[in-house]
Amino acid sequence: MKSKNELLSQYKEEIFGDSEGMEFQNDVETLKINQLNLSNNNSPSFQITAKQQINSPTSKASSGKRITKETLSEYSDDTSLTDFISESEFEWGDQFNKNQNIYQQMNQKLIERKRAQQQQAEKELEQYETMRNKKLVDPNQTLKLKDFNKLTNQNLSFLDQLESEKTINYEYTKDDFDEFQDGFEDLDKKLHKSSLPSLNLHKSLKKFHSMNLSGPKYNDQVINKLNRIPSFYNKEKLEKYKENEVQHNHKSKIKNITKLSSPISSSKMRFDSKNLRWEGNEEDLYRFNKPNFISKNELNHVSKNQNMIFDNNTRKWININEEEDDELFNIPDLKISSPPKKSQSMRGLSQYTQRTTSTNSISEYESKDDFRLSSRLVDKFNKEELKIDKKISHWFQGAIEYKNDYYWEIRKMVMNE
Amino acid sequence: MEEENYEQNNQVALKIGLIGDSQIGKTSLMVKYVEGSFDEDYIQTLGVNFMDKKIQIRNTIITFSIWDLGGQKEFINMLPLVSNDAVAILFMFDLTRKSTLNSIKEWYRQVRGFNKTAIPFLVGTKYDHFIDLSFQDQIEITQQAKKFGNAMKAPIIFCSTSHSINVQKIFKIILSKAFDLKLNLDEIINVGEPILIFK
Repeated sequence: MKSKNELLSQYKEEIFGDSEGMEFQNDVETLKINQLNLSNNNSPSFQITAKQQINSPTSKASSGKRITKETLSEYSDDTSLTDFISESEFEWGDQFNKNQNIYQQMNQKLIERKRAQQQQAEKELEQYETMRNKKLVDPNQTLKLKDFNKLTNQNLSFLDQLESEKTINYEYTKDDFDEFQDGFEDLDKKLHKSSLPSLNLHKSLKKFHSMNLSGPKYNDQVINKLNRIPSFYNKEKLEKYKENEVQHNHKSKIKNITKLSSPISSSKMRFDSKNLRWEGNEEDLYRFNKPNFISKNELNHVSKNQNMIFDNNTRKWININEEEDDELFNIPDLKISSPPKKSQSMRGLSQYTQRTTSTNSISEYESKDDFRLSSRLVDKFNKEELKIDKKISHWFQGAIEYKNDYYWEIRKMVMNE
Repeated sequence: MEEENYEQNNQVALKIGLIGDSQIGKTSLMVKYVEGSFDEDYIQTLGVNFMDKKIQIRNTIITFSIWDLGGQKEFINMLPLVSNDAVAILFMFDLTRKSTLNSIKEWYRQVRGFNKTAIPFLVGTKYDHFIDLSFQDQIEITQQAKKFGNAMKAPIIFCSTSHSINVQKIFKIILSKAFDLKLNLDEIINVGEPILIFK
């Protein structure tokens, strides 16, 4: 088994060296991996795996190599933030007739586009309704106990007179027509509260500060060295995509509407003033939970094979009769228990190095063999444990004796399976 | 009626709505595109802001009318002002705050309740801060954004207003989508890069 340092040195070139095509400025000293003090005990538990392509297929602009100054020009946006857009950026084709009023034609085009969007929306709604209706006759619907005669002030005494032991005043009913949130009124309120920030939360935006190295504490040489490492502050990357800008020196032309003169009504949407949200159009949430709808138009561009169709966009086969949820499109929310971590800036390490190491801790790339330990290692652990037990057994008089043999039993059981 | 005809024949106006949680940079993006300036300080939008920007292409003047809804919940009653008649809606989220991406579902439902003809866009903001996140977070957020964009049938764009990355491109893509014009621009699809998926 190779040690971590061996593994790291194996990939050294890929991380730092010439193979990434990095061109440093003159007199730049690059940190080498053997200059770093990476001891096995203190380093975080990451695993170096073979050269793997975790990036999605590369675009035309990106050749798959890491971004360097050499390839920078490929990305550079030579258009400035201006009031003029070069017509060469668009392919006009035969879209507009030069002999006719261009504005009229463009407005016509907008109307056509609007109509197409509307038709698309109607088609999707139709498909949604069909799917929903199919769901309603699903034999696996749940049943729930429902009061036949709900007690009210009016019928209380009346029912008392009529009821006997044999009276049936309940039935099992399908609850599929009920709204999911029925009975969760309070919960709904709470949940919604947290989904959008309230006015109380507004604080001034935190500004981003990179590490402040100025001051007498640090010597200039360190600062200069860090500045010379191209990606240390991600400056290179940001510069690369920068669009040239033209500043307009005139007063802001922002116009503002702070209040509605009269409430806006809509035939489809209803404003819930209590929860401050518009209700309705639930069907549009469906697209986040189901495979994308395929319109007839799109079907023309896909190959058919009995019930299976091939979607060119997603490059996969879809069963048109299948009702199963597609996991890919069953999009759960991102967990936000902790704010996204900033990558740990290891002083002197290039950003790429950090990326390379952190990619290897991603669960989907973890090898299944991570938890398989050799019998030699297990023996070693056993011995260590006995040694420590022996050492500390007399530390605390009358302390509860911990029996952790069962851990080994569990392990044995799992391994035998 | 005559006036309407005159307008129809002598100008093209595209209304663009900016929607999303508060403090994600809707107003900043609008001001940046219209005036070319960026202010780091946060000024809360009270209600709805709107600005016009005229651009010239092929001797034709196109007016972008950009409407920006305050992200605070109390202004959501004004949502129809921004969404109605919009040609494109930018559903915006902060690339460094996952909760703002999660909110997109709800924004999408509510906006589409008023306007199903607008072309949706999914725009991640603050790309300059996003690159400071761990690569694992970058992967997670980018993949989720791609799933959302796919479900919404929307182009996906990561931008940085402060560093002028992909700001102008958003509006070029709007033009190309609105008028069915092919845009000569490469897509950027790799995790870690300022995503530009629109074809």
